[in-house]
Order: sequence, then structure tokens, then C-alpha cells
Amino acid sequence: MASLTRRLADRIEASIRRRAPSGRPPLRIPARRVYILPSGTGALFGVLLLVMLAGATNYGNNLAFSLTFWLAAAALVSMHRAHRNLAGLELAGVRAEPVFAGETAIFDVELASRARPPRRGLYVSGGASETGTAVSAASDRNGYARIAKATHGRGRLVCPRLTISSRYPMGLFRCWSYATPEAHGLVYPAPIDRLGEPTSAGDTGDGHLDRSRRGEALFSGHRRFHSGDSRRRIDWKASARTDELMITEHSETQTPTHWFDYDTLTALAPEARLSQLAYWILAADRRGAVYGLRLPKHTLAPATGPAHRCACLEALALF
Amino acid sequence: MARRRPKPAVSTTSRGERLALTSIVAFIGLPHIGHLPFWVSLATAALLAWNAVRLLLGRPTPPGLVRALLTAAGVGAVLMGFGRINGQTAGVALLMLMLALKLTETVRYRDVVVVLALCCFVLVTQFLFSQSLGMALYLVAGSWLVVAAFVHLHAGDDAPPRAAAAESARLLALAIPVAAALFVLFPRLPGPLWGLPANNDGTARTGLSGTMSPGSIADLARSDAVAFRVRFDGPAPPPAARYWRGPVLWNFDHGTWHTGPGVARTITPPRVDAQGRGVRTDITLAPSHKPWLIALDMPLTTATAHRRTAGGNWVAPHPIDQRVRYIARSALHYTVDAELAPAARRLALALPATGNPRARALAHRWANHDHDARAIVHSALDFFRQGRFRYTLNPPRTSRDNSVDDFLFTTRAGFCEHFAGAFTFLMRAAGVPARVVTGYQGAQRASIGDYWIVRDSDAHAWSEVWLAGAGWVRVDPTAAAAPKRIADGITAAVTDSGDLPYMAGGHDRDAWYHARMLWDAVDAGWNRWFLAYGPALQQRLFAALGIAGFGTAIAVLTGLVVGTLALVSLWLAWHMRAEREADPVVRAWRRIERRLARIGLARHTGETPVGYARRVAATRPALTRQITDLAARYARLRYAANIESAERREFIRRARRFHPRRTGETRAG
Repeated sequence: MASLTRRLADRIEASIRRRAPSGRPPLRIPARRVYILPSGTGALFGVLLLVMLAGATNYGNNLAFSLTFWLAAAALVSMHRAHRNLAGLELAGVRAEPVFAGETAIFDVELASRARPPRRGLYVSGGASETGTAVSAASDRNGYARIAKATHGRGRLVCPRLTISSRYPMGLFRCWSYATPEAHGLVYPAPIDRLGEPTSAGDTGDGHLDRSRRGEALFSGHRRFHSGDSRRRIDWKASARTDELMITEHSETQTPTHWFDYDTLTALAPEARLSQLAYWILAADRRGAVYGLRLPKHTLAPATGPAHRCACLEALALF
Repeated sequence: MARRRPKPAVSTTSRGERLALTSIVAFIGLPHIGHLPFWVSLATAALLAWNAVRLLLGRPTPPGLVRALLTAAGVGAVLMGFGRINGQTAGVALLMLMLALKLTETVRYRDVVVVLALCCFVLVTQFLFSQSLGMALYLVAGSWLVVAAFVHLHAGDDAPPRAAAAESARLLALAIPVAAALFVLFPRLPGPLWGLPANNDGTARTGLSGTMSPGSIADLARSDAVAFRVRFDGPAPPPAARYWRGPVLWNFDHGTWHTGPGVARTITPPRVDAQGRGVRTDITLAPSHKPWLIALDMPLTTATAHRRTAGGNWVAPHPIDQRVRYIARSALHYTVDAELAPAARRLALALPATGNPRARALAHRWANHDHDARAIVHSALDFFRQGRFRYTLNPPRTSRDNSVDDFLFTTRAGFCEHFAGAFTFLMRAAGVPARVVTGYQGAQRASIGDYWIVRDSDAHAWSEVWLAGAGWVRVDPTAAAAPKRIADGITAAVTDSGDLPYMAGGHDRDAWYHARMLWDAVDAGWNRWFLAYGPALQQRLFAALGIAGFGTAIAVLTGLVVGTLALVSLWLAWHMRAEREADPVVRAWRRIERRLARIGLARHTGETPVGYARRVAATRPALTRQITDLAARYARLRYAANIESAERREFIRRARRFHPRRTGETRAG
């Protein structure tokens, strides 16, 4: 019997989840997909109303009747208000910053609410964020919720099914709806160094920048210091002349490049190779080096900077 | 369904919220100061103040041991003060103390919910003490605060308290139709479910007590509280016929008239033969905590659920603790008990074995002189008429066992209970069956509204004698001694009218009198239409509406509630529709766009207001001035800082007046 009710509950839940609005954001929660049940507070309130009704009847007290009936009516109205608090809510977008495998990914869920009076007391839960995060969505701006999801392997991370709930306005009813936005974040391979410096294994020859040659890069001029530039590149003499921090620039063409090649890492299993490449990419990026990535079906030309780093890591993630 | 549920909205409350909760409890408990012993009010106020100060200073919650000790002390104090912890006043005292104590530990969500629920309960207990219009306003304020607190608790951290207050007002306003339907149609069960507490006498209005001793009616006459209000169906009877029948007293010992328990067993209710058309009255009776249903003499019927006593007055099955409204039919001309049963005759002639020898002697003289009962009655009335009796609220004291002698021969001053009591004594001593009737005499016409007011100051007592062939006949000895009492009211009749309450006098009808009368009209409406609504009136309403019984009533009610809620839901959907823009300026501009779109000039996506206006002006030169002005204003309102609200209003006003028409050529049809 217990297993039967369990199976029935599972069946109902599965059908509810199947019907949850899904697709690319923006997603709108239709009124028919908003579920509502009395909360614990609602049950307590119901008992209170019954006691008040008994008291009013016992004393034939019309003001007591009025209070009881008015609060009961307000509770019924609050049920409709609670339903309206969710119905028509729009999931404007879901974004996630890329993370490395093993880290916790955060999906930023954006809720758009142009309703007046504003929707309040919204909670979004899903994935590992079981307790739900409060969303403040006023009438003139959108609200955001952060949904955490643990990652294990690299690749695309699908946004967990979201539960959007609220107990607004009186807390007597819990209203909720599911949404499965078609959105994903990227999980880069965890950067794990197993081989040490790339020179030791499989460097294709046109070499990595070794420290002795670095200083010999051709000087091409000075430019103003920008935040983010390495302090070591500040040319103090030039700075003294101009009263501004100047840094030396080396012409790009003269900078030797690294090639990180998947096929050369024969000593490692495929996933370990990707982790090794991710490690090298991060290390090179930290040094400001110029590097290229060569994968069996895909080659990224040598370059530098955050955009290049992200492109390389994405290529590894989606390998 | 969902196995993983988010935790309740708020798990802990902020200091400001706890302070607000303390204020709400203080506000809701405030009227109880008048109902509870002083020490309970003081202790509650002290606890609330302590809590507020503690929160203001940022002190932590007092330790559990302190709270437990305080709780025990509260229960102990109530037990010692009242001798019990149940019952109306004791229960309320305990409730208030425990609520104030509970506030010291309201940190978690659940505590706050419990406190708010108890607040609703405290509101209900307020109404047990008073159901005045003022308390109705209190009900509104209290409900609004409690619902606002519930809303704030679930609105999330970013919601301002103002928003909760507005939401609460909106919820309660939308709830009014449903609440009204429930109030009128929800089946009302009569009577107490578990018995009324005994200790509510302290708050009772003193009405007719059911016994009569020297001074008891005069005490009542010092109050101008409204005993009942009455509407006559047709013209009001003449002043001499405005006798309102209350309890009838048969027994006399030690100077006190009363109705012993044996009366109802030995004497059957009277047979009343009405002559002529009766008078139909609609009476709203104030609670008296006595079962008497007062009606114009001689009552024929009141509501069917009630019983007629041996004296011919009507009583309710329970003491009247709430206002009741009933229709009573009365006969002005009647014959009651043309035949007197032997048991009734015995009781109507019974006198104590001793006491009042001079009165007995006087009565025997009359009886020896005249064998006819009518002649004896006349002799007695002549005695009162010629005896230079003084009609006063402050009669001299009389002895307990010879009260009639003292009054008739020594003091010669008294109020109606003296006259009625002495007369009835004389009649019985002379062998004429007689009894005392207590009730009210007179009625004051309301200044506003078609109704009459009978006050405690109109309380009266008179006699009835049984005459062969005529049955029980009303004889008012007070009228013989002070004829003005009946014709002109009590003020003209008593020698010390200064002791009468203000509204009973009413001789100088100044602004205060009229203000009181205006308030009486409001109060009368409140009592008649709201407070008096109960099981009996509901049955009458159901009958008038063709509702067969509670089953049908519940069906109708359910339909009404569901229908109303559907309308509420539709309204909410319309009110909260997503397209609705919060800024009225933007709304006004969108309206302009819609109106232009209707004449084929929809704005392209990405087109700026000014660019749009230029295009509209090029297509429809007639609109140039208006649309250029509107677009410029809109752009300024949207993108400039420090806009005066007058400027916004001006734009909205102009936008509303913008009605572009289709181009000149008129279309057929």
C-alpha cells in the first residue's frame, strides 16, 4: 500500500514536472502551472478560525463572527493573490559563469516582473540550492537568484530544474511552479599538472619562451601604464622623464609562442591530457605568454589575453 | 508533491520587526484595561514596556529560567487573583499576561505566527465585553495590523513595511464581499455551546431584577441607559397605554416582592382574549443578563421559541447576554383569565402571617364597608390620591418588616415600587386577588428615525387586581398619587427631578441632547441591523429568500463565495497584468503610441520618441504641434534629472487629451 501511494505520488510528480514550462528563456509561468497547497501556518490559521467561530457561536457575538468571517475571507482572497504572485512571472534569462570541474557552478536566474503591485517573497531553488534563494523583484527592476550546482566532469552543465515558490502574501498557502530553462554553463577540465613544464614533453620545437630569452625581446617603444599591466614591465627611467608610469612594449612578432598540442601528450589518458592542457593554459596566461592550442580537430592560433584563454578552455571543455 | 521545500520565508526577525510586534500587541490589548483588574493591566503593560526597552537597547532575549519563572508567576497570580484560570475575565487576564511574556522570546518565524494568532484571539475577547460601534472600528484597525504583520513576514527582506500595510488593506477590502456573504448566510446555531461563564456580571447593565424591594426601581431610574428601542407598526399607542410588561411578582416576604420557584409549577400561563386590533412592535432589547423579553402590555405573542410565564410576560430560554431583536404583538384591550384558578387565587391573596398591622386594619375597614372589589380598589386609589403622598427618587428609609405601614402612615414618600407594593398589599389584605407587575412605563420618541427609546429611567412597577368578569385589571397607584407620571413622564412627576439622568430629563433640548440623539440613531441602526442579527433573524431572512434550510443556505453561500472569489481573481489578474507599466508617464506615452497605431502610425522598434514624432508630423502635418510638444516633454521627463511632479502631471494630462483622428476623408459606414 505504501509503495502504491509512493508510486502514485511519483507518477503525479513526474507528470507535473513534464508539464513544467521549458525552453529557452524568456520563459513565462502560465497560470495553469502554478500549484498551491495550504502551508503549516495556513493549517494553524484554519484551526484558529474554527476556535474563533466556536467562540462567536457560543456567545452569539456578532463582532466576533465578523472578525472570524473577515479573516477567513481575507485568507481565501490571499489564496488567489498567492496564485497571482507567481502566475505570469517571467524567467528573463539564466546565465552561468564557467567553472572548473569540481567547483560549484552558479546559475544566475533573472526574474522579470513588471507587475503592479510587485511580486514579492519569491524563492528560487534547484540543484544544490535546496533552501532556495530569495529574489527581490520590484516592479521596476528585475530580480536575481543564484542557484548552485556541483560539477564533476567537464562539458556543458545543464541548468537544474528550477522550483519557484512563494508564500506571499499571508503565508497561509505555499505556491510553487517548476521551470526547466534551456540554459547551460561551461565546465572546464580541472587544471591538473602531471607533467611539469611543457618543454619536457611534446613541445613542438618552435619552443616556449624560456626566461633567458624573454629580456631579449625586441623593444618597440613605451606606452602608458594601465591597471592590469605587470609591474615588472614598468620602465622607471622613462617614467621619471614623463611624470607618468610608462611601460616598455615588445613587438608581438618578436615574442616566441608556445604550442600546446593534445596529440603530443601520449603519456596521459585523454581526460588527463585535457587537464594538463588547461593547467598549461592557465600558467601561460598568468605569465602573459603567447600560446596556441592544437587539438585533433581544432586549432586555436597563438594569442594572449582573457578572451583567448576562455576560447582555449572552452575548446577543452567541449572536446 | 515537492519533497524538497524551501524553508519558511523568515526564520528570524529583526529588532525593528519585534518592536513593531510589541506595539501591535499593546494596541490590540489596550481596551482590556477597562475590563481587567488594575494589577493585570499594570503587569501586562510593564512586560510590554520591558520588552520594548530591551529591544531598543539591543539586549538579548532573557534566559529561559527567567521566562519560566515569570510564566509561573503569571499563572500563580491569576489563580490567586481570580481563584481560577478559566472563565471570561480570568482567561483574558491569563491570555494577556502570557502573550506579553511570549513576546520576550519571539525570534523565530513560528513564535511570530503564534503571537499573531493570539492577537486575533485577544480581539475576539474584546468583543465579549463590548460590541459598540467603537469596537467595530477597533476590529478594522486590529485586523489590518495583524494581516499587515502576516504579509510583512512573508514579503521577503526587501519589501518596505509600507507595502505590507497597503497589501493588507487591499486583501481586507477585497475580502469584504465574501465576509458579508458569510456573515449573513453562514448557518447560525442558537444558544451557547458550552455554557456561559458565570463571572460576567461585573459588566452587566442593571435591568429589571425580578425582585422588588424599596429603592430597587428608583436605583434603576437613575440610569439613562437604553433598555430597548421599539418601532410601532402603525401609530404609537397613547401615553397612558405605554406600559411595557416585565416580570410579574406574586410573593411577598420581609418587604420584598419576588417570584418564587413554585409559581411556574402551580399556575398555568394565562388565557388572553384580545379585543380590537393588536399593536405590532419591533423591539431591539439591550442585554440584561436576565431572560425577560419586554413587550407592550398585554403581550400576545413574541417569537415562537419563547415561553409565557404565569404572569403573562414572556421569557427567553436563556439569559439575554447579547442584543436581541424580536417582533411582539400586543393587545391594548383584553381580558386575561376571566376565570381564576384556585391555585392562582390562593397565591394572589397570600400574605405573611405578621407585619404591617395598620395597613391590614385599613384594608379590613374597606372590605367591611364594601363587598364589591371594584369599590375597594376605588377606596384605595382615593386614599393615595388624597393622602398627599410625595413621589420621589430619594424616599426615606422604611423598616424591613413593616415597610408598608411606614410608607403609608409615616413617611408618605416613595417611588413607584412603594406605591405598587403597598397597594398590592392592601388589596390582598382586603381579599382582592392582586399581584405586582414590573416593567417600564413611557417611551421617548427619537429625534432622528422612526423609533422610540425606552430607558432604564422609565422602569416602573404597578399592580394588577383580579375582578370577577373582567379578569386581571391593571391599576397604577403611582398614577393616582402623581398623575403627571403617566401623562408627562417621570421628570414632571418626581419632586427631585435633578437626580434624574440627563437623557431622561430632556426638558431643555440643547445641542448636547440633540447630539446624543443623533448618536442614538447611529447606535440604533447598528443594534438593529448588525448586533441583533442572529439565529432567529436568519431564519426569517431564509424564509423570505425562499431558502429551505441550512443545506440550501450552505449551497447558496458556497456559490456566492466561489463566484465572488472568481471575480476577485479576475480583478487581480487584470490589476497585475505583466504589461502594466509602473510609471504613469510611460503609460501615458504608450497610450499615445496605441492611439497613433490605430490610425496607421505605429512606432518602429528602436525609433526614439523625437524621431517618431518627426515621422508622424511629416505624415500628418495637422498633428505636428501636438506630437512634437508631447515627444519633447516625454524625452525630457524620461532622461532629465530633477523633474517637478507638476511637469509629469501636465504631460499625463496632455497625453490624455491627444486624440488623433483618421485622415480627413470620411469613410462610409
